[in-house]
Amino acid sequence: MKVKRSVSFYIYQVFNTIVLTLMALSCILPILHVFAMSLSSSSAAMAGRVGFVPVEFSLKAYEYLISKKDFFHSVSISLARVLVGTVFNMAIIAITAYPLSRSSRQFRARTAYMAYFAVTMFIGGGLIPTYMVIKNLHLLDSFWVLILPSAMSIWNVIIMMNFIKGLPRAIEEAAFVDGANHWQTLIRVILPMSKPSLASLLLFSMIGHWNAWFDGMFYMNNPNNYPMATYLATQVINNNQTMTNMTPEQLALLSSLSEKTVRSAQMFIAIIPILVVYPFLQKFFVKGITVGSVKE
Amino acid sequence: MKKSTKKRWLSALLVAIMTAASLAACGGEPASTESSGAAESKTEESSQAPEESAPEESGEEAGGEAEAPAEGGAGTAEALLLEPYPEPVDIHIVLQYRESENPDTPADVTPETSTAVKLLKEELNINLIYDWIVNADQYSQKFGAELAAGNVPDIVMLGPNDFEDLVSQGGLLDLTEAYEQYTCPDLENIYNFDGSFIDVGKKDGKLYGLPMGTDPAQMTSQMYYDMNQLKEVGITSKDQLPKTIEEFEALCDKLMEATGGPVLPACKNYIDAQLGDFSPFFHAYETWAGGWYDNNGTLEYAGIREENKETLTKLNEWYNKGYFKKDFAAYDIWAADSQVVSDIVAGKYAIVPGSWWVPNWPLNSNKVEHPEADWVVGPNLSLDGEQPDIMISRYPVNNFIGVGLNCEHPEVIFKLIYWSLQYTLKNSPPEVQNAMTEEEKTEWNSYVYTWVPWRIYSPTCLRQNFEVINEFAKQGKTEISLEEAPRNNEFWGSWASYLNYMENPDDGVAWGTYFSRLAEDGGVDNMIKTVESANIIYDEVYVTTPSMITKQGELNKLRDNAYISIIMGEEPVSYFDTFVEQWKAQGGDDIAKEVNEWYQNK
Amino acid sequence: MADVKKEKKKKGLYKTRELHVMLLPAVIFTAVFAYLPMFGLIMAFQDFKPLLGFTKSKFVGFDQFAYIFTMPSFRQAFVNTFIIAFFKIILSILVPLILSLMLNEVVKSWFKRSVQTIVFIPYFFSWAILAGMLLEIFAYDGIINNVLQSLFNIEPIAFLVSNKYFRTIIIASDVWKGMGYNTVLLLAAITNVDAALYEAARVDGASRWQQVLHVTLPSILPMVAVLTVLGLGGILNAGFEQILVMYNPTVEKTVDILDTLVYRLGIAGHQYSAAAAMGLFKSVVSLIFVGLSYWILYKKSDYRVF
Repeated sequence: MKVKRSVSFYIYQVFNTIVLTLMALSCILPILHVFAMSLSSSSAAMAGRVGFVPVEFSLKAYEYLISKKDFFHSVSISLARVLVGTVFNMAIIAITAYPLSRSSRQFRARTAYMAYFAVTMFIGGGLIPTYMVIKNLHLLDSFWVLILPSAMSIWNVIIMMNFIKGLPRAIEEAAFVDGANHWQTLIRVILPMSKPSLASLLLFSMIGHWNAWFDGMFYMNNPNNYPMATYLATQVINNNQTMTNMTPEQLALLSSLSEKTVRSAQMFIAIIPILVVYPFLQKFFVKGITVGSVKE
Repeated sequence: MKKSTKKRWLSALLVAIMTAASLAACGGEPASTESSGAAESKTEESSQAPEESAPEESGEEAGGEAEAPAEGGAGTAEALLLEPYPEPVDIHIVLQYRESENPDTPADVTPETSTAVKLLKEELNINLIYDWIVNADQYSQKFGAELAAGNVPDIVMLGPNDFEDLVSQGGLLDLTEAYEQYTCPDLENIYNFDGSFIDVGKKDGKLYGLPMGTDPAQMTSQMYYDMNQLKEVGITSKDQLPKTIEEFEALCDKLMEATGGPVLPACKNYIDAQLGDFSPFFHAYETWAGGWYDNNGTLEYAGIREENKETLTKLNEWYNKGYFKKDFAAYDIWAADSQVVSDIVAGKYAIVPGSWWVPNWPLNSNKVEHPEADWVVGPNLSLDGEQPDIMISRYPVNNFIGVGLNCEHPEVIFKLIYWSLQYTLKNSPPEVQNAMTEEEKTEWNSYVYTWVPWRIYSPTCLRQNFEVINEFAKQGKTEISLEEAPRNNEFWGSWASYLNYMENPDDGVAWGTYFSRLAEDGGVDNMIKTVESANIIYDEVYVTTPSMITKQGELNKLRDNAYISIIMGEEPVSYFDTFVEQWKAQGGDDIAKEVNEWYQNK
Repeated sequence: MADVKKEKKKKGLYKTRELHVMLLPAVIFTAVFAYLPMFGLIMAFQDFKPLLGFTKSKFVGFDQFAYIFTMPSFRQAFVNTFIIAFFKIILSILVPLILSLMLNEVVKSWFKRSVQTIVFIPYFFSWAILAGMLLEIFAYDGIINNVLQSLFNIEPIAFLVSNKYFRTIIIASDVWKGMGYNTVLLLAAITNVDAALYEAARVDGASRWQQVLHVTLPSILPMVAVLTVLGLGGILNAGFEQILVMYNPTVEKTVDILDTLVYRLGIAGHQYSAAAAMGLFKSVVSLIFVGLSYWILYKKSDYRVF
């Protein structure tokens, strides 16, 4: 298919490319900066001499990180969390989005359910009441506190629900005619057709679990149970030698001084898994996420 | 002076690590100690220097016998303190911490399984139970949530606001009786160093918490100059350093010409950061950014005095000249990766105002990177070249240690603090450290295992150690006995840093600890000289009144914002009057009323 | 008649019992982790003392609300919150919209994919990390000032302490951070537009620009509408974490928001009740906004968000 292309079209293309390239640069340069910082000497980092290329190349920050066992322990907790948490998220998304995608004529209670869920997007009980609930459930300090409270994400359900709504009705109706029940329809017909949406939500869910740090800090009673994101959030690296002979003020000061290079290395390590997974799942995005729909 | 919230947080956290610090102190190389005559312990006079400590002499005796509790007189407090409980006692505590930064920490050792906890069980029959451990940043939230769920730890460390709040809710036990029965000179040194400090923890005559404070002198600021950099502007000896604001300004102008500026570090926390803050300049004009001083029997707030206008005008002038970074107010000196600190370390400033500890950090890092740097302390600035009046807190208290209402043993807090002190003193001397196995040493140096919600820091230790160690130095000692050593937890660390500096005078880190604490004309020395030569005006308020809890924070913001607007020229200096009105209307008057009521009835 | 019949037939097919069962886990999770804590909102009407608990703390009616509304910094924070949130909502849709339209015009697919991937990256970073970088970039001696000076000979500007610029920086950086997400959402919608519509437009002689205007935009309008409605729910969420790590006393006039105010309240004295009152107030306001916009959208154009 050959389309006529005018001069203005080419000018537009060039302009387009430049703007988009600038945008992309604005997003990638910070990462390069972090990466360069993690590979520079700490004095170069302190003096602000590091741009996008390592200055006085050094692997010290990474060596230091590798020497820390608790860092890897926290990584293992994070991996477990991502694995289990994502399974929970996806299962609930699937079985919740399906009924909600039925029209209210087919499923009268749908509107009530939807309202029930949607309200929670805008009203919350606050930190302390939530804490009390979790404590009374004896979830404090348990691995499950990282999974259960965030298991049901209404926002993701809505994305999935709208995707299902957009699927051609004919196939599922055929399934019903063949005598399939809702479970069978969901599993055999809807889910296979929803791969793009599921893939996108899978990614969001994984990222969410990988990056979540506050719940770990707040609900865990012992730092040994922290997932990686929490561990990183609590990390403040002190300068080893000067830690001797500190008085209150100095300790306070030192504890707020961190080794820029090590922090950068941690930031970079933390983002690697996402950078690896993301491009693979990204192709589904374009088809997978639909928000909102025209009235049935 | 009310400290900023951030500061208080930091101090809170640091209290937790206090013990650790002192323990760690001797982890460094306790240098070669065998050189001179080891047993030259004739000069014992100077060892115990209990300046203000209680007159009771029993402490002296108990000192030597710490390891043999049973031998102390049966009735003495010391004996009682070390007496084990007949039945096991569970003590629930909570902990705020910073990550242990020692990568060699044995992985299977956790706070619960540390040696100290084991020994507490063996020696005192106390089971220390960590209910939860949280990062210092989240402590307040976690504590609040647990409180809401009805849990008050048995031993708890609280900031002044929380202390006030918890006492008013009846959350803390009355410690009055236990205090009378269990206190002893070693303990008094920690929470009652001047004989009346303990009163800070009293409400209506009852003791609800042990105040953890610092020496008021620690709030003074000094001017640090790098003589090496100053050479370029013609200053070659210390007596050429500026004494008056005028001379100081002339020096800054020269530096501006030479370097293009900025020439003075400054930060968001410019009021009381104790590093790169403006308090030396406020003091130079005999003005103060906060604090309640006694004006003929009435307490008045120093932050709204008309005189402050003059200081602010001068600071505005300096800002316009470019002495400070144009956007200095955006930088938090306490933040991780603080830009201000990085600049100081990188040697961008030849002048650094700050507290006694500044050489210990960050100037030591600067010296590591720039060994040619030659930092000295200059005279305190003033208008006429004389030492100006300074304001310091009557009782600088960071935290209180209280006993939660569910605990059945109010005396346990005294036992724990005393035991910790003995444990630290016993294990800190170089010989003991050297005799430790590799494993023991590692644990000893892994701060996290000694993090407990009480501290054993004696506010007088800086002065005491300065005097004692310099005395030892005069005598040429390189080894001292347990009996000679002052009984404060910081001593052995300071001693080790003295030996370390003698051994490695070119090492920036060794220089930092030595220059801040022990050097003649160093940090502590100048701190002492300042408070001894200056006319002192006290910030009298060391209680938290109800209005303070709700309003102080916003009022401090109001002041910070008003001052900085004037300094940066966003508002004319006449705006100060508007600020004063607002300050009064938004709760300042209420607080004034409350603190005066308290002051009159004190 | 026919309708009734159809209805019946549908009902026959649709055994809704299974649907209720499917919803059960979500209902339980929501009840436990979202609704149960809402009882804590009682605090807003109490002078809540933790040790006394909900049952014994004194009820004070609307006193807490009166307290926060009369707080001197409340009005300023409220206005700031509104302004910042408003621009964030608008721009975080507009910018991605333009970006996705531009991306849609890109011919080379590798370029399109790369850009799409890259603009998503800032979304993964936390504010704590980004704030440090942004402060560095906008510093008086930072990159931006250097560029402005060398290219346009503009005197350096103290962005970070400027009440004129800082709010813009807050808004812009937030839009920048989140633009990847919405861009992908919108691009998805654009790609889903029926190709036949474009074909028809081309046959009618529409230029590329006209196609965008008359085909693409109307087709993705529902999505834009939905994003707006959901955004309005956050009209009082101006970005707590971001502002907390980026602001300083000088610019408080323009960027202090309700959340930072509450945060200070909480830290200063554990004022649970005041914080809860503020939270409830915010919830009510956002519910009103969402409700209104949802309703208007539904009435006017038949779009449904949920």
